[in-house]
Amino acid sequence: MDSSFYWTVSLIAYLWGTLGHSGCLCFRKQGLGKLAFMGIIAGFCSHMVGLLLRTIASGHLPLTNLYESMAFFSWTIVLVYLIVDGRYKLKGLGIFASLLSSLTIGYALLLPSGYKEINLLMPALQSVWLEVHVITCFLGYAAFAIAFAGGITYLLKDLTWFGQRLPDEKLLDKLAYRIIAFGFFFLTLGIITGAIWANYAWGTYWDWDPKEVWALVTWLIYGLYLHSRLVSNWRGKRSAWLSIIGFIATIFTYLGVNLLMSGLHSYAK
Amino acid sequence: MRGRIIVNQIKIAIGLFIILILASIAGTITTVDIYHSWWFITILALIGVNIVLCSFSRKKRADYFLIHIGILVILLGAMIGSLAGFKEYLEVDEGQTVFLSQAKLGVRLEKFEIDYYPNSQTPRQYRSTLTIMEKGRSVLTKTIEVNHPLSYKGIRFYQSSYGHGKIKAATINISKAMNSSGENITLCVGEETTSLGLGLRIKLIQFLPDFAMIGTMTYSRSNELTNPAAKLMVYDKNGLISTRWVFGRFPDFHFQSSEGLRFRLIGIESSYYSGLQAVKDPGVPLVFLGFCLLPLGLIKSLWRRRNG
Repeated sequence: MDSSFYWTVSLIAYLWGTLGHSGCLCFRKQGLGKLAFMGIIAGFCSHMVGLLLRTIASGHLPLTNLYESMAFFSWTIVLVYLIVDGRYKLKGLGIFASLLSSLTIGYALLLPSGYKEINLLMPALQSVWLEVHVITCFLGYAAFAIAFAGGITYLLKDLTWFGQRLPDEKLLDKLAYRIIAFGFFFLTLGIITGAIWANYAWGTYWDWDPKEVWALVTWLIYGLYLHSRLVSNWRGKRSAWLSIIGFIATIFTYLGVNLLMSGLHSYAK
Repeated sequence: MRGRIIVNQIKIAIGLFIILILASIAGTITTVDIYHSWWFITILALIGVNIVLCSFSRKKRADYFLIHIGILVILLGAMIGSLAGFKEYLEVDEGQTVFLSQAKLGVRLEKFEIDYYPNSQTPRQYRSTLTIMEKGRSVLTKTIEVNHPLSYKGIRFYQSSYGHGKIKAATINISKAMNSSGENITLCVGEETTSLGLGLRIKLIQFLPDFAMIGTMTYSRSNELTNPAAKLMVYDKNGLISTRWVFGRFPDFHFQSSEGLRFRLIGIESSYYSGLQAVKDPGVPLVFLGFCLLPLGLIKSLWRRRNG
């Protein structure tokens, strides 16, 4: 069976995770939360089997086109979620984390079959820098996705009837800050490794290519986030909004640039 | 007092962040290059000044200091590169020597090769064997590939692209009817046949490796021989009788011509040119130093927060 089978299984598991976590929050059934969590773990394992199969079939890590990178992105979101959940045990976060991974793996699976073919790597892509660059970028993106989930959770607290059942505001704020600091480190590494690679391949570490500029914009938004916390009245709601804006910029860097603009990353269709 | 100055500097930093974000986004929407404009560089310079003012007054925190000094070093390296470096793109045919306009060096392309993936038109790798010429003598011969440049006296040569250079010759078959084997002629672009057995003269005026059309304008879509086409002018003893395109992939396109002749493009002899990027950037070591300092500072601050 090929990787898409295992990814379909993980899609179902993540959807179950979303439902189970929501049910846990609505009906205050702790058992449901545990079942949802176990579903996500099962989905994560199946997801990884799919990635391994794809690696074996293509002879390179699954990072070279939209289909593969989307599947990988979805997996890193779950990975970061599991790390965060293991440490902080936050209610509510699981809903959005598993929803985001369902959406990303679902999007990958729904791509037309032309997108799913195994790529022959063009010469510039045959470099270890490809793996280092893409993996570090996606770890950053995934951390921002979880921080985005945290930001949404924070804003929902005031708005909805189940707000009081969500985790404490201060804890959410602090957690988002830590995850963003983690993601910022990886995005920085991602941009730097991309620059070093570009310097080997084309002789310029920075060319103001749209993808580069949008990665810089994303980096600056999170840089702004980190600095703004030194000024006391920016914490809380404003921080939550910034984590949402930052994630929108992240998604635009990843997808929007390739869909709407041309440039050096245009092979990543 | 000192604390207040720092808070004010951070407020200014936040303002500069917002300005730089908006300016960068604007640059991806307009077609104007704003990233090299005086006002964009001024924003970067202001950020540099702000970093100096902020981070040097908080020297005690080693992690923040490393991060900010890293950014400053990168900006400095970029400045040196843009003031003292150059970039030049060269297209060289096999056997040809071209000279850099900004350095006293020449480069000769000895050989150009492409490896393809098995059963495919996709290049796996392409490489150029180059000889660097200095003061009329060859000083270095080396083969470069994509991702593997060569370096001579601070100037690096990158394999950047390739394409079909001049078409050496195209072979065209002309016959009176479907079943006759006809006559083969081989022509270079601009060349003309002497009178053929059919009482005609033919001139090859243009060649496109990947023929495409927009309206009435013809152009080559790529450098690959995907849809090779030759443009011919056909004369009889009274003068020009037709101008026509002849296709390699579609031999019978336009077959029923006014002259009642069948033209087929049956062979192409072309040479490649190699696209080389020559770069001198004395700022790169500094930029790479910054690339080490910045993540080092970030990981230090992550570590501190974890334990603090």
